[in-house]
Amino acid sequence: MARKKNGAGGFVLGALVLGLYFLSKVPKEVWVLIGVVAGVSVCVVIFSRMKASSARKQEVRRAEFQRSRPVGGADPIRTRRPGKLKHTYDHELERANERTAVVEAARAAGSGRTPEAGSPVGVPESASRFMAPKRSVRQVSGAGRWVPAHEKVSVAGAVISGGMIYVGTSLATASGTVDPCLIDPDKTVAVNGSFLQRDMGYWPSYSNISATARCAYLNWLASGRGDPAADVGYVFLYFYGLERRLITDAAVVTSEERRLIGDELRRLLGIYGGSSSSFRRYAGDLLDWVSISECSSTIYNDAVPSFERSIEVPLYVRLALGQTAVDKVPVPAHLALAWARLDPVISLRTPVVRCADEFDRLFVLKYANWGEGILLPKNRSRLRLVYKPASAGFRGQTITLSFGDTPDVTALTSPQKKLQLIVDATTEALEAYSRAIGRSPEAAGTLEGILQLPTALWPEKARGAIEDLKTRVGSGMLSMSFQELQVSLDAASTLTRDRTLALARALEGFDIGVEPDVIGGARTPKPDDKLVLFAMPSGQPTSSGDASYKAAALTLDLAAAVAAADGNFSAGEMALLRRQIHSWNHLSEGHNRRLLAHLRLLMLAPVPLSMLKRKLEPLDASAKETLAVFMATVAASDGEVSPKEIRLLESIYKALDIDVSRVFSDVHAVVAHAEDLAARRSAAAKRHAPSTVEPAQATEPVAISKGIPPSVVPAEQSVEDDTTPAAERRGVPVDDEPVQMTEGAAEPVFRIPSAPTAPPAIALPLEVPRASDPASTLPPSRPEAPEMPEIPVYVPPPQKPKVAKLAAPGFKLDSERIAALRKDTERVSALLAGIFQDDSLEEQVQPATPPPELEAASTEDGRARLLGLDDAHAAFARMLISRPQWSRDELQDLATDLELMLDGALERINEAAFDIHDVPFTEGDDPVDVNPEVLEKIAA
Amino acid sequence: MSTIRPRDRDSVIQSLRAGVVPRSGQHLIQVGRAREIETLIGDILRIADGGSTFRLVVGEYGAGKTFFLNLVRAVALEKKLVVASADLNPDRRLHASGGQARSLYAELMRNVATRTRPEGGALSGVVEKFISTAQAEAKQEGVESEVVIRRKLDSLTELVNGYDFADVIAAYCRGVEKDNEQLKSDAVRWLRGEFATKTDARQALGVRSIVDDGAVYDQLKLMGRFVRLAGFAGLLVNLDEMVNLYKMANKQGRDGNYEQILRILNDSLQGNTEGLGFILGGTPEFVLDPRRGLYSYQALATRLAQNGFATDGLVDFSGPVVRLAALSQEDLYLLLHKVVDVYALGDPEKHLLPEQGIASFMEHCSRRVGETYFRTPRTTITAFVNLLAVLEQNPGTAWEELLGGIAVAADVGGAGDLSVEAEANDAEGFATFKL
Repeated sequence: MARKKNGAGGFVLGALVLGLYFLSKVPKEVWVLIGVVAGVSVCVVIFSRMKASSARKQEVRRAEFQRSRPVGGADPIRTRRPGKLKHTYDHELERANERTAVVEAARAAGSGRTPEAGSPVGVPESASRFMAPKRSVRQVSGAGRWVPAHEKVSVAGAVISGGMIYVGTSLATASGTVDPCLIDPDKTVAVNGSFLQRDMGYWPSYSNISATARCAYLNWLASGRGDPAADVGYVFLYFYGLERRLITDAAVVTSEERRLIGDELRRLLGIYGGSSSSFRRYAGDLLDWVSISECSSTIYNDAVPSFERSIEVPLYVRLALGQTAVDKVPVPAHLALAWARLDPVISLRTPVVRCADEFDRLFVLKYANWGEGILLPKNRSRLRLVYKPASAGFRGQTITLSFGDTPDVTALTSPQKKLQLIVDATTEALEAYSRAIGRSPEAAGTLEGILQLPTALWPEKARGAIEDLKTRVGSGMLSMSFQELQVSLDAASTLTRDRTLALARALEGFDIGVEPDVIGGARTPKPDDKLVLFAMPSGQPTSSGDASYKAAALTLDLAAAVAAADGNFSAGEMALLRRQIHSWNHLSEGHNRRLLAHLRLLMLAPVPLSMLKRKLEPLDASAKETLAVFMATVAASDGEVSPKEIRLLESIYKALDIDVSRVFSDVHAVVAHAEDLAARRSAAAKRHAPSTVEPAQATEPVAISKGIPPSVVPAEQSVEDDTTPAAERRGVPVDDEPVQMTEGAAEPVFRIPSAPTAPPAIALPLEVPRASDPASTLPPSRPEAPEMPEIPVYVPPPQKPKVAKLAAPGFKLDSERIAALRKDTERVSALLAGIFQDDSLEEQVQPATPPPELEAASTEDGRARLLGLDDAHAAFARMLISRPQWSRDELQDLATDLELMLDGALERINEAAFDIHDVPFTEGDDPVDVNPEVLEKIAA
Repeated sequence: MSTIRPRDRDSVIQSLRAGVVPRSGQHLIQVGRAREIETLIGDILRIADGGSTFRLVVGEYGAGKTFFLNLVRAVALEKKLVVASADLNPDRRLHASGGQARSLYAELMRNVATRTRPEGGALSGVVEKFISTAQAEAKQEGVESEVVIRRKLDSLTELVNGYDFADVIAAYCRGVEKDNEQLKSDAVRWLRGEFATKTDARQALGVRSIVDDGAVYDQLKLMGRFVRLAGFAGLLVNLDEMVNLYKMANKQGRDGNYEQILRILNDSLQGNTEGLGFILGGTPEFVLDPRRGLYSYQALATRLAQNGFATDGLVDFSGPVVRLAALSQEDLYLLLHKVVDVYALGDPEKHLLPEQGIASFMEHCSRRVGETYFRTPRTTITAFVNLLAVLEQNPGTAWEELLGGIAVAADVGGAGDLSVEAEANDAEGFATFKL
């Protein structure tokens, strides 16, 4: 290879020597001629060379473009243009408004030359001469100028509205070449050209592309610059213009125009950003540039312009965030939202996209709940903007903006995590709605859709409807059918279970409870089913979670079934149940309210017993017993236990696994006791202290204990206090308690807790009675209330006797009750004594019965006979007295002698004796004894 | 009232010790129930006034139905009523076709009691009293006594079997006058419903009818009138253990009986009868059971229902049902107190057991048999009386020492009430007592 080179060098040397020789021989005229010819040919050669090289270059570029396009990265471009001109904006944050950004490049290239009046630079006159279009209508001519957005221009017959392009014959870049964006009306334009087809290189320039491509470009511009199918090359061509305007001509761009350009960029991004990642990046970067090139030091307070989500957080947002860090203020909600939406680190799920609006609102709400907001630390990595222009006119320069010591908070990770948390929470809340909308987009405005939203996001109308409902409910309750409820809330169709649940939850958000408790797992109501809405205390759980509530509700179900069994849910039964609910003070207020609502619902539609059976199974035995007795109470509470109610009670007992025959004893006990109580009360009210009865002196029961000196507990001396009704004295409010279940007030089963005073009891230090008789097949006819701790429903707080400490609370006697009973008994005794009285006193008042002898003597006057008997009987009686004992046969003979019938005679004599002396004359049948008492009395 | 007749005391103590209800002296140990007793006394007075009443005494096993009925019976006797009592059992019903109703009637008549013969068997006394009165009248008027009898019984003839009843009474009178014992006993047999066939009755007394199953209630109405004619205030019919009707397996049979009850109830409440009262004792299921009890008979169910207005503390005791609540501990406490008092013949000085002793005894029982000790107090009372007997006969014994040794068995006799068509629960659990 070296030898070859040397050979060629020798040949050249030889030719040179030969040429010099000939030159010296050439005459002057010849030199002149040669000079002229050579000059001309040089010109020709140069021209042709230029043409050939430019065509070759274009070939190469096109090939490159095709290769690099799929990669989409910026690197090939950067490496192909190693020469960098550094354009620096000195960005003083403190003085941002009066920022004097100087584009050095612009200054260097075109100082003193305004773009509007810009004359073609570096383009040879001859070139334009060669390209002079024959057909183009020159409406715009002269140096290239920026066409503002509101202006229309016509280029090559295409009328382009919207402006934002450079049109003119000359527009130089910093390096002196014709700016690629310039639409030169002088260039030839083909008749046809489709912008759907690619017809130019990677870095196209209007001046250099083919006539067809120009036509296509103009068509694209004229058609509104929005056809999504258009080749991105044309878009770039347009984009170059915007880029130039913003960067090169920054000094003359007004903020209004900047905004317009920003909007245009966003529009373009919306259309082409998806199909071309390259465009997305360039346009995004430029948008950043636009957004921050003119902004205050507190842009975090301003609304965030919209950005497309890209691989990094837009600079504007970063700047705003950085400013918050500098100012040490929390990130405002709208900024946080923008950050969350734009930060690629934060994952956004479908709901964010599908229900963007709802997401934004809810995010702001949730962010507000977060506390003060996220306070960003001022970290060390500084924020700077590095912009790489797309246009070939910049020849690969990069432009860097720095913002003082504003930090780039995207370098942090913990704020993103927080944001992610909020986003997740928000997304979760919206998931249901999003799915609903996804399934049927038309659900968006309807109740069905709204129900899926958190109530905070409800539209005003729906909120109004519920508020209206709330005022109707007031502090009480409101019953309506499910259908009515749906209609009042503008439901388009019958709500599914999910929707119903959502509705219930939503209502709960407004402090309105719904019964049946769908949230707690109740069956979804059918449209005709009744619902009861009730005001519930805010913040209290009303849902039927815990066991005690369930037991109570079950009791009500059963009770309602019983109460309605006779076909009439009477007011008395209702009142009893309501009182019962109020007495269950182990339940929360919310639960009580729900139970009342439940009761209302039951009144409208009692639950059939068959549906309750399943629920009854898990109860334990003592709870069942208590339930059973309570049911009997309910059945009797209207003063009448109809056969129907009995039948139902039987089935309830059966369902409760309790001996069915207990129904009768329980009902009987309830009714008997109610009567007993009422009787005692009315009697006590009527009665004035019965003078005949002296309160027994032994009415002081005492408490004793074996081995210990008996502590004497005086019973209340309520015996004298006759004006107080007995029931009241027992510590039972009379009006409130028509059905006191137990005999002893010390062990009320269904105690109304408003009874404040525990009755003093006779305290006996005895042990709890143990049912130590397993052989007994008869169950105790009534459960003992205090021994059922597992069902808190019925167990009243154990009444502590005031008087004495009990060694064994199971056995105690109620002294008040004893006192009452004592009075009752005394009354009875007095009553009975009046009947069974010994008439001895009366007898003495009467004239002394004459002795038999005397009587015999006085028979003549027929008045003072023995015991007032007639002759025959008196004679018979006298005969009887003579012996203490007679055999029946002897008496029979005696009677026959006296022409008397024995039984009749005895009957008569005895009766007479009873009448007068209150003792029988004879006793026994065979033998017949003569009563010695009669003898004494008659003798007396 | 402070004095207690030794006869009453013995009657009470003996009965209690045997675990049965005393026939007399009940008023000595009555505890509470003033309202119920007042109600029943009102009934008795109404009967004595010539009215008619119907009461259903409902109480559980051990609640004291029988005691209550006996107390009422004693009161009625004092008020010069004739009382006929009987317990129903499978062989004694109000209505039957196999002689069970007549058997009930016979039992009632056997148990006819007057004040002078409170233990029963007073039927012939009643009849003879009537006849002797008639005889005395006849003697004054100088006519045949039968003429007077016929005249007096004329009012009965409007009733079913009235003629025959008058015939039988006349036959008795003839038997007395002609000293024909056979005729007398035949007449009494007829009155007691002991003639099984009409043929026998015709041969013996010349009457063409007898008291058969279908005529029981009519016969009772006749008796009601008759006792008034004989000088008594009226007739009270006590029917206990009505639960036996409930136990009947045959629905038709049950309904037949309930129909009789309905008839009685209607007559009583409408005043169709004169001087006749009924008291029926039964358990709650006898009344309430909608399949087998009185409630199964629609017409009765509506008549027996409580007053719908008597709610929330208002009371109406005029209804036909008197409910006895089961005893409470306090009831029993006072009852035992009374027993001690009766034992001491009403003299507080002679009380064998102090109040503490009663309470301790109750506590002991409650430990042994649980709450049944006061709900079904039969065994408890028996044990208590036994304790008193020991204390009485062994002066100086400390009651505290005896307490621990007392055995009290639970009274489970009530279980029999529920066994349908079971054997009569006569074998109720008596107390076992040992020291």
